[in-house]
Parts: sequence; C-alpha cells; structure tokens
Amino acid sequence: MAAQTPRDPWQAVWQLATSDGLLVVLLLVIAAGLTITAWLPQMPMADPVAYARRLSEAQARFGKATQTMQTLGLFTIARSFGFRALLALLAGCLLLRLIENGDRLRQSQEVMEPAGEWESLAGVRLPDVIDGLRSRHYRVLRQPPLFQADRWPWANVFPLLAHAGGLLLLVGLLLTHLWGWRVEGLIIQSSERVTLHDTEKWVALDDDAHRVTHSPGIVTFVEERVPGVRISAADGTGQPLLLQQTAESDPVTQLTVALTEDQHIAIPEAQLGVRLAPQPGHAIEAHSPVLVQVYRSPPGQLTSETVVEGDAELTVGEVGLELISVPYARLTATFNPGLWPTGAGLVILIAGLLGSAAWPVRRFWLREETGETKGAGDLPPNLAISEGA
Amino acid sequence: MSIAVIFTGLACGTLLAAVGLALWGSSRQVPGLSHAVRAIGWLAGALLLIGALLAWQGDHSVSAPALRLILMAALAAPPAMPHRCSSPWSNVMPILPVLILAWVSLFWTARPVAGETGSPPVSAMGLAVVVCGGLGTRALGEALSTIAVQTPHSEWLTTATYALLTLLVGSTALVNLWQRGMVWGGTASEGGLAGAWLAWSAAWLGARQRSRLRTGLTVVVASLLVSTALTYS
Repeated sequence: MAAQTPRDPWQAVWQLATSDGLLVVLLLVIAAGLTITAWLPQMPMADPVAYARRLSEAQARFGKATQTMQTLGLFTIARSFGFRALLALLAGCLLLRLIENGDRLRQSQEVMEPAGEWESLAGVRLPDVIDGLRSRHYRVLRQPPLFQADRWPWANVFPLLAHAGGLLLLVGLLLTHLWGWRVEGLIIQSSERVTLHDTEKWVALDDDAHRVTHSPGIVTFVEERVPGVRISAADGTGQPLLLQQTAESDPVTQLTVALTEDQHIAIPEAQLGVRLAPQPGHAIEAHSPVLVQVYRSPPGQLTSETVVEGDAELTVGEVGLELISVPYARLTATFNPGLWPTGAGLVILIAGLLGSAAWPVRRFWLREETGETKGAGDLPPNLAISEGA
Repeated sequence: MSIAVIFTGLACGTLLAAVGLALWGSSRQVPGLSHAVRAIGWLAGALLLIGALLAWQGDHSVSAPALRLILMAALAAPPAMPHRCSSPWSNVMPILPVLILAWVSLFWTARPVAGETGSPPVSAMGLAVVVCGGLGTRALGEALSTIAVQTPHSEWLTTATYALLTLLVGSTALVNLWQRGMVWGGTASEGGLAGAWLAWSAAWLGARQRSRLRTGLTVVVASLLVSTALTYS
C-alpha cells in the first residue's frame, strides 16, 4: 500500500490563487458591477447640483426602492468598498499569476512532462508533422522518443505582458485614487485665470474661449462652451446705473454672467428688470445668440425683447444698456499622478492580450510507437482532425 | 411603409424559411440541404444589409436601436463553414439569434420615432461596437449550436470578437486618459462596454476550463455584448 503524501496547504492556496477559475470569477463579478453602472444612474460626488438632479431622477424612476438601492450602494458602485476590495483582490491575483508565469517561462525552456491522454494520430507520419510544425514557427524539442512542440517564448511572453500590464494599470488607478483629484463643472470666462481651490494649480481661458492653458501636471477637458454677457447700464445723461442680481447682493455698475441658465438682473434706479437667456432653438456655443428681455418693474410688463449676437447696445426709454460678449467654458480639471503608469499599463495589457489571442499557448507532445504516431496535450486542429478522420 | 422595413421583413421571412428547411431536413436525408440553408442565410444577410443601408441613408421611420439591430443581424446572418456534424440543430441554432434580432428590429421599426433614445452609429466607435455586437451574435449562435449538438465549435470567432473588443475598450481608455486625464470618461455606455469586455475576458480565459462552462459563459457574455451594442451611444 502506497503511503499518502500529506498535501502542503500553502501549495494548495498558491494553486487556488493562481488558478484560472479564481481570475474568471473575479473578472465576472467586476464585470457585473460595471454592467450595473450602465443601467443604474451613478451619483457624482464632486458636483452637488448634479448629485441632487440624479437623485431626484432616481427617485422618480425607482420610487420607494431608491432608499434601499442607495443603502446597497447600487448608485455608487465604483466608489464602494466592495468594488475596491475586488480590484485589490484582482491585483493580488495578477501579481501571483505574474510570478507563476515568469517561472513557467523559465521552466518551458526544456522538455516538460507530457500532460493529457495519448491519442493515436491515424494517417500521420511523424517526420512530416515535425517538418510542418517547424515551418509554422513552432519550437520542436526532442528527447527521444518524445517530441515537444510549442510556441515558446512568445506564447509565454504575451500572457506575462498581459498580467504585468493589468497590474500596472491597477497600480496607476490606485495612485490616482490616493493622490489625484478632479474638479468638475469649473466655469471660467474668457481672458480669466482661476487658481484651483486648495492647490497651486491654475487654469486660464483665452479671449475667444477656445484655448485653455493650465499649470503643468494637470489635464483639462472642455465639457462645453457657453455664451456670457458683461452688462452695464447708464441713464440719459450717461451716468452709470447700479445693477443687482439678487436682493442680497451688493449693487455694482457692471455685471458679468455666464448663460449656463437664465439670468435675471435688476436695475432698481430705473425700475427695470433684465432677463438674459440663450436663444431657444440654437446650439449652445460660446457665441450663440442671446435673448434679452427687459421688463418694467412693477408691474413686470415686457417692455423690450431682442436677440443679440456679440457686442450690442440697447436703449429702453431713457436707459442705455451695453452688452459685451464674454464667452465662458465649463471644464473639468484633473490632477492624476497615476497617468503614466495607467497609460503604460493599458498599452502593455492590450499588446499582451492581442498577442495571446494571435499566438496562444499550444503545447503538445508527439511520439512514435510501434510504427504509429501518438499525440498528447493541446493538439492543433489539423492533427486532431486527422485523428478523428 | 418604408423600404428598409420591407427588406427587413423579407430577411425575416428568409431566415424563417432557412430554419424550416433545416428542421424539415432532419427527418429526410436530402443531399445538399445544408448548402441550401447556407445560401438562404447569405441571402438574408444581404437583404438585412440593404435594409440597414437604406435606413441609414435617411429613413427617419427606422429608429437608431432598430438600425443597430438590423446591422448586427446583417453581420451575423451569413453562416460560417458547414459543421461536420449532421444534426439539423447545428444548422438551426446559429440562425436563431439572428432571427430574433431581425424580428425584434422589424417590430421596433413599427414603433413611432418620437421619444426614441440613441443615435445612429455614425461614429467610428459606434460602428465598431455594432460590429462587435454582430460578431457576438454569431458567437452566441455557435455556442447555442455547441450546447445543442455537443460538438466543439471553432475558436476563431470568440477570439476575433475578443480582440476587437479589447482594441475598442483599450483605445477608448487611452483617449480618455489623453483628453480627460482619467481612464473612465464617466458615461454609462463606457461602463457597459468595459463590463462586456471583462466578462468576455473571463469567457476567453475560461476557454481552458471545462467545455460546458466555456460555452455557458460564451452565451451569457455574447448576450451581454449584444445588449451593450444595442444601447451604446
């Protein structure tokens, strides 16, 4: 009776951690999380206005279930602890598999122990098969009476690259999460330079709101360009009149507003109210036409309505209004210390995966036994067909 | 009734005829029947493609999701090489997903356009996602055929779909990184596409696992890819 060798628990853990099954499960669960983000609204944290809008949309869509779904973290999947823990597990799994693949690459230099059942390959001559395999860039190793054919080293290098790329990508994402930041919905008027809150970084917009400049190390993305107006008013004698945007705000002689939404300005001395809005039916761009409506206050009667493009001067009774076009841009500024590791990781990952797809690991063994050719392992389809024929 | 709808309807009828012919052939040994089924599949593919092109040219009665469905069905309709297996299901199963897509698109075109979301796949990215969806439909048909007749199908389709999906997701992530400084653009479509890619990665990795698991995974991820391609904007 053969003595049973006790199974090393660490080896069992290693085999589990580097197994294809674990990686498949992790990828599927992460994929499920990402797929949910496509179907359920995800709450933005940086922009309170957008958060409130999304939440009210979710409440309208899901009703009473919204609270439960929110508690389960279904509206903040990518930021949830569970999702991040899965990514950490994936990183650990990739690291162990990277080590395993490196070892496999080294071990694959020599003939390995045949794996799988031996099958008869009818109608096949071994020398012809060996010649055919060599012409198809297979590496053929010989250890009489055994022949091993595989695609070493590239078939082993590409999975190694894919694992290294995936790991580097996750490291880049971790760096982004730990030390990166993002400012969304930043509204800057043309010719303005803004210092970003709590940082020394700045963003500036040129006169036409077309070109954004910024301090080194950050990336800016223009979400949209919107029209803006610098408005001032004067009475019949040319004396400037005071303007107020809200009842609480200090009166000023000149106001600059971005037309991301309708703007209302009061001219208390002239008892006038001005409404500025992007002209309906036009695409919102930096120099879109602006609808200007002037109301008498009280009683709120529309006195004048006109559409202006660019700079304009309007006269309403004794009051002259000067409107100067000041386009704005709504942009996102990002500081990402993990930019380069993420980019490099992505490129290496794509190269590794595409290489693995085009050049799969296919290792098999051939031998001649009593005039018959036999094969074992991952046999190519043409050999498998001849076996089946 | 628009011409695109007529062509799609003809394709639906043709695909039904192909399924009927394959099933009819199961009880009779008719020589060359599988070739006839293949020829009908090619004809259906051509009809769907013509219908999609006509709709794309400016037929506003066909909504964007319906157009995507027709395009995916057109890409998936031409059958692959005949199976060595003589079972009629090996001919029927690859047609079934195409038939479903074509019929759904036909019913969808009957709906009014008002309130329809999504845009036609005019961008290179949108078109590539639809091509992925078409390949995914083919892979779905192959996987269903494998389940039905228990013979392994060729791996090239799964691999080609995965390679294209990898290129798409990778290039989107790199463009986002370059333009926005983040891998994630934050759109729902990107999340769906990344999810489909990861799921397909799992299925591709599972190719080394047991055959049933691999085939089951292929069915699930191919369905996911088709639904992602349908809603991608």
